[in-house]
Amino acid sequence: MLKLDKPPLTDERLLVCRAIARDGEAFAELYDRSVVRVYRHIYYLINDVKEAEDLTAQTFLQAWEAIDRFQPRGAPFVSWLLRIAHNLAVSHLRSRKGDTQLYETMVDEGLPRNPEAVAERQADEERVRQSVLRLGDEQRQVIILRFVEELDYREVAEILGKSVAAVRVIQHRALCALRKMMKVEEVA
Amino acid sequence: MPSIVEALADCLEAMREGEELAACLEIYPQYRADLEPLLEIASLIRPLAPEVVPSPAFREQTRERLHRGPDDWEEISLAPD
Repeated sequence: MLKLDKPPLTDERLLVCRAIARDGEAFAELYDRSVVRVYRHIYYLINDVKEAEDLTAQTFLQAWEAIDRFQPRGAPFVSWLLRIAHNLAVSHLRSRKGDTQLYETMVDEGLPRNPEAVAERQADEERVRQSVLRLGDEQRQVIILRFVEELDYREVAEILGKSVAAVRVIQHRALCALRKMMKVEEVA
Repeated sequence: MPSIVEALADCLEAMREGEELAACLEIYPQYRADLEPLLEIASLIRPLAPEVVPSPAFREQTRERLHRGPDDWEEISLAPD
Protein backbone atom coordinates (compact mmCIF):
# COMPACT_ATOMS: atom_id res chain seq x y z
CA MET A 1 0.00 0.00 0.00
CA LEU A 2 1.26 3.47 -0.85
CA LYS A 3 2.07 5.43 2.26
CA LEU A 4 1.75 9.20 2.00
CA ASP A 5 4.04 10.89 4.51
CA LYS A 6 3.36 14.38 5.77
CA PRO A 7 5.64 17.01 4.20
CA PRO A 8 8.57 18.14 6.38
CA LEU A 9 7.57 20.63 9.08
CA THR A 10 9.85 23.45 8.11
CA ASP A 11 7.97 26.49 6.87
CA GLU A 12 6.31 28.45 9.64
CA ARG A 13 3.25 29.35 7.57
CA LEU A 14 2.72 25.69 6.79
CA LEU A 15 3.11 24.78 10.44
CA VAL A 16 0.59 27.42 11.46
CA CYS A 17 -1.93 26.27 8.86
CA ARG A 18 -1.56 22.69 10.06
CA ALA A 19 -1.88 23.76 13.70
CA ILE A 20 -5.06 25.68 12.85
CA ALA A 21 -6.31 22.38 11.42
CA ARG A 22 -5.64 20.90 14.92
CA ASP A 23 -2.39 19.15 14.03
CA GLY A 24 -0.75 18.71 17.44
CA GLU A 25 2.59 17.76 15.95
CA ALA A 26 2.75 21.02 14.01
CA PHE A 27 1.82 22.99 17.10
CA ALA A 28 4.51 21.16 19.11
CA GLU A 29 7.04 22.19 16.47
CA LEU A 30 5.92 25.82 16.78
CA TYR A 31 6.26 25.41 20.54
CA ASP A 32 9.84 24.15 20.19
CA ARG A 33 10.72 27.13 18.03
CA SER A 34 9.28 29.77 20.34
CA VAL A 35 9.23 28.49 23.91
CA VAL A 36 12.55 30.06 24.92
CA ARG A 37 11.59 33.47 23.56
CA VAL A 38 8.17 33.35 25.25
CA TYR A 39 9.66 32.18 28.55
CA ARG A 40 12.33 34.91 28.61
CA HIS A 41 9.76 37.57 27.76
CA ILE A 42 7.57 36.45 30.66
CA TYR A 43 10.53 36.06 32.99
CA TYR A 44 11.53 39.68 32.39
CA LEU A 45 8.04 40.80 33.37
CA ILE A 46 7.54 38.36 36.28
CA ASN A 47 11.03 37.65 37.63
CA ASP A 48 10.18 34.23 39.07
CA VAL A 49 11.16 30.89 37.56
CA LYS A 50 8.14 28.82 38.64
CA GLU A 51 5.61 31.48 37.73
CA ALA A 52 7.33 32.13 34.41
CA GLU A 53 7.12 28.41 33.60
CA ASP A 54 3.44 28.25 34.56
CA LEU A 55 2.63 31.34 32.51
CA THR A 56 4.63 30.01 29.58
CA ALA A 57 2.59 26.80 29.63
CA GLN A 58 -0.61 28.86 29.94
CA THR A 59 0.47 30.93 26.95
CA PHE A 60 0.73 27.84 24.75
CA LEU A 61 -2.53 26.46 26.08
CA GLN A 62 -4.35 29.68 25.20
CA ALA A 63 -2.63 29.78 21.83
CA TRP A 64 -3.71 26.21 21.10
CA GLU A 65 -7.28 26.95 22.13
CA ALA A 66 -7.45 30.18 20.10
CA ILE A 67 -5.28 29.27 17.14
CA ASP A 68 -8.18 29.38 14.70
CA ARG A 69 -8.32 33.13 15.38
CA PHE A 70 -4.68 33.62 14.37
CA GLN A 71 -4.27 35.26 10.97
CA PRO A 72 -1.33 33.57 9.17
CA ARG A 73 -0.91 36.60 6.92
CA GLY A 74 -0.72 39.04 9.83
CA ALA A 75 2.05 39.35 12.40
CA PRO A 76 4.45 36.42 12.80
CA PHE A 77 3.34 33.63 15.12
CA VAL A 78 5.82 34.43 17.88
CA SER A 79 4.61 38.02 17.98
CA TRP A 80 1.08 36.72 18.58
CA LEU A 81 2.39 34.42 21.32
CA LEU A 82 4.20 37.31 22.99
CA ARG A 83 0.95 39.27 23.06
CA ILE A 84 -0.82 36.39 24.82
CA ALA A 85 2.14 36.02 27.18
CA HIS A 86 2.07 39.68 28.07
CA ASN A 87 -1.66 39.67 28.83
CA LEU A 88 -1.25 36.67 31.10
CA ALA A 89 1.76 38.21 32.83
CA VAL A 90 -0.04 41.49 33.47
CA SER A 91 -3.11 39.70 34.88
CA HIS A 92 -0.85 37.64 37.07
CA LEU A 93 1.05 40.69 38.35
CA ARG A 94 -2.24 42.36 39.25
CA SER A 95 -3.20 39.36 41.35
CA ARG A 96 0.19 39.10 42.99
CA LYS A 97 0.38 40.70 46.42
CA GLY A 98 4.04 41.67 46.62
CA ASP A 99 6.25 42.04 43.59
CA THR A 100 9.72 40.73 44.30
CA GLN A 101 12.37 42.92 42.83
CA LEU A 102 15.44 40.73 42.83
CA TYR A 103 17.41 40.91 39.62
CA GLU A 104 20.09 38.32 40.10
CA THR A 105 19.63 37.08 36.56
CA MET A 106 20.13 40.42 34.88
CA VAL A 107 23.48 41.05 33.28
CA ASP A 108 25.70 43.16 35.53
CA GLU A 109 27.26 45.81 33.33
CA GLY A 110 29.64 47.51 35.69
CA LEU A 111 27.05 49.09 37.94
CA PRO A 112 28.16 51.54 40.61
CA ARG A 113 29.32 49.79 43.78
CA ASN A 114 28.32 52.52 46.21
CA PRO A 115 25.35 51.01 48.10
CA GLU A 116 23.22 54.15 47.78
CA ALA A 117 23.99 54.49 44.10
CA VAL A 118 23.22 50.80 43.56
CA ALA A 119 19.88 51.14 45.38
CA GLU A 120 19.00 54.25 43.40
CA ARG A 121 19.86 52.64 40.11
CA GLN A 122 17.90 49.50 40.97
CA ALA A 123 14.89 51.66 41.84
CA ASP A 124 15.21 53.45 38.48
CA GLU A 125 15.53 50.12 36.66
CA GLU A 126 12.42 48.85 38.41
CA ARG A 127 10.48 52.00 37.46
CA VAL A 128 11.50 51.52 33.84
CA ARG A 129 10.45 47.86 33.97
CA GLN A 130 7.05 48.83 35.36
CA SER A 131 6.71 51.40 32.59
CA VAL A 132 7.66 48.83 29.93
CA LEU A 133 4.71 46.76 31.17
CA ARG A 134 2.40 49.62 30.25
CA LEU A 135 3.62 50.10 26.68
CA GLY A 136 1.49 48.92 23.78
CA ASP A 137 2.25 45.52 22.25
CA GLU A 138 4.41 46.70 19.40
CA GLN A 139 6.50 49.13 21.43
CA ARG A 140 6.94 46.70 24.34
CA GLN A 141 8.02 43.89 22.04
CA VAL A 142 10.61 46.10 20.36
CA ILE A 143 11.99 47.31 23.70
CA ILE A 144 12.28 43.81 25.14
CA LEU A 145 13.76 42.29 22.00
CA ARG A 146 16.24 45.16 21.55
CA PHE A 147 17.34 45.81 25.12
CA VAL A 148 16.49 42.75 27.19
CA GLU A 149 17.23 40.16 24.50
CA GLU A 150 19.92 42.38 22.89
CA LEU A 151 18.91 41.50 19.34
CA ASP A 152 20.00 43.68 16.45
CA TYR A 153 17.53 45.61 14.30
CA ARG A 154 17.47 43.02 11.54
CA GLU A 155 16.62 40.20 13.98
CA VAL A 156 13.87 42.24 15.65
CA ALA A 157 12.46 43.19 12.25
CA GLU A 158 12.37 39.53 11.24
CA ILE A 159 10.61 38.41 14.43
CA LEU A 160 7.99 41.15 14.25
CA GLY A 161 7.52 41.05 10.50
CA LYS A 162 8.54 44.70 10.09
CA SER A 163 11.23 46.59 8.21
CA VAL A 164 14.39 47.70 10.01
CA ALA A 165 13.32 51.32 9.48
CA ALA A 166 9.95 50.61 11.10
CA VAL A 167 11.64 48.96 14.10
CA ARG A 168 13.80 52.05 14.57
CA VAL A 169 10.76 54.31 14.49
CA ILE A 170 8.93 52.09 17.01
CA GLN A 171 12.02 52.07 19.21
CA HIS A 172 12.11 55.89 19.20
CA ARG A 173 8.41 56.15 20.01
CA ALA A 174 8.72 53.54 22.77
CA LEU A 175 11.60 55.36 24.48
CA CYS A 176 9.68 58.65 24.18
CA ALA A 177 6.65 56.96 25.77
CA LEU A 178 8.79 55.57 28.59
CA ARG A 179 10.28 59.01 29.18
CA LYS A 180 6.81 60.53 29.37
CA MET A 181 5.62 57.90 31.86
CA MET A 182 8.69 58.39 34.04
CA LYS A 183 8.26 62.17 33.99
CA VAL A 184 4.64 61.84 35.06
CA GLU A 185 5.72 59.57 37.92
CA GLU A 186 8.38 62.08 39.02
CA VAL A 187 5.77 64.85 39.16
CA ALA A 188 3.22 62.72 41.02
CA MET B 1 21.21 65.24 8.04
CA PRO B 2 19.99 62.08 9.78
CA SER B 3 16.62 62.16 11.50
CA ILE B 4 16.40 61.85 15.27
CA VAL B 5 15.21 58.26 14.78
CA GLU B 6 18.44 57.44 12.95
CA ALA B 7 20.56 59.43 15.40
CA LEU B 8 19.02 57.53 18.31
CA ALA B 9 19.62 54.20 16.59
CA ASP B 10 23.27 55.14 15.92
CA CYS B 11 23.84 56.26 19.50
CA LEU B 12 22.28 53.10 20.92
CA GLU B 13 24.51 50.97 18.70
CA ALA B 14 27.56 52.95 19.79
CA MET B 15 26.62 52.54 23.45
CA ARG B 16 26.14 48.81 22.97
CA GLU B 17 29.67 48.69 21.63
CA GLY B 18 30.94 50.35 24.80
CA GLU B 19 30.82 54.05 23.95
CA GLU B 20 29.99 56.40 26.82
CA LEU B 21 26.68 58.25 26.69
CA ALA B 22 28.43 61.66 26.70
CA ALA B 23 30.57 60.67 23.72
CA CYS B 24 27.50 59.56 21.76
CA LEU B 25 25.82 62.89 22.35
CA GLU B 26 28.82 64.67 20.87
CA ILE B 27 28.10 63.00 17.51
CA TYR B 28 24.70 64.67 17.20
CA PRO B 29 24.88 67.99 19.05
CA GLN B 30 21.72 69.21 17.28
CA TYR B 31 19.69 66.47 18.96
CA ARG B 32 21.47 66.47 22.31
CA ALA B 33 18.51 67.72 24.37
CA ASP B 34 16.15 65.13 22.90
CA LEU B 35 18.58 62.23 22.80
CA GLU B 36 20.02 62.45 26.29
CA PRO B 37 16.89 61.43 28.27
CA LEU B 38 16.11 58.66 25.79
CA LEU B 39 19.61 57.22 26.04
CA GLU B 40 19.47 57.44 29.83
CA ILE B 41 16.24 55.45 29.89
CA ALA B 42 17.65 52.89 27.47
CA SER B 43 20.67 52.46 29.74
CA LEU B 44 18.30 51.51 32.58
CA ILE B 45 16.94 48.50 30.70
CA ARG B 46 19.33 45.75 31.65
CA PRO B 47 19.62 42.67 29.45
CA LEU B 48 18.55 39.30 30.75
CA ALA B 49 21.37 36.84 31.34
CA PRO B 50 21.63 34.23 28.55
CA GLU B 51 21.21 31.37 31.01
CA VAL B 52 17.62 32.44 31.70
CA VAL B 53 15.90 29.66 29.78
CA PRO B 54 13.14 27.24 30.71
CA SER B 55 14.43 24.06 32.32
CA PRO B 56 14.74 20.98 30.09
CA ALA B 57 12.27 19.16 32.36
CA PHE B 58 9.66 21.88 31.94
CA ARG B 59 10.17 22.04 28.18
CA GLU B 60 9.82 18.31 27.82
CA GLN B 61 6.79 18.07 30.12
CA THR B 62 4.98 20.88 28.30
CA ARG B 63 5.83 19.41 24.92
CA GLU B 64 4.46 16.05 26.07
CA ARG B 65 1.23 17.72 27.08
CA LEU B 66 0.96 19.41 23.70
CA HIS B 67 1.49 16.10 22.02
CA ARG B 68 -1.15 14.38 24.11
CA GLY B 69 -3.68 17.12 23.50
CA PRO B 70 -5.14 19.82 25.68
CA ASP B 71 -7.43 17.62 27.81
CA ASP B 72 -5.19 17.54 30.86
CA TRP B 73 -4.06 21.16 30.67
CA GLU B 74 -6.39 22.14 33.47
CA GLU B 75 -3.78 20.67 35.82
CA ILE B 76 -1.60 23.68 35.20
CA SER B 77 -2.12 26.20 37.93
CA LEU B 78 -0.39 29.21 39.29
CA ALA B 79 -0.86 28.07 42.87
CA PRO B 80 2.30 28.51 44.94
CA ASP B 81 4.22 25.39 45.94
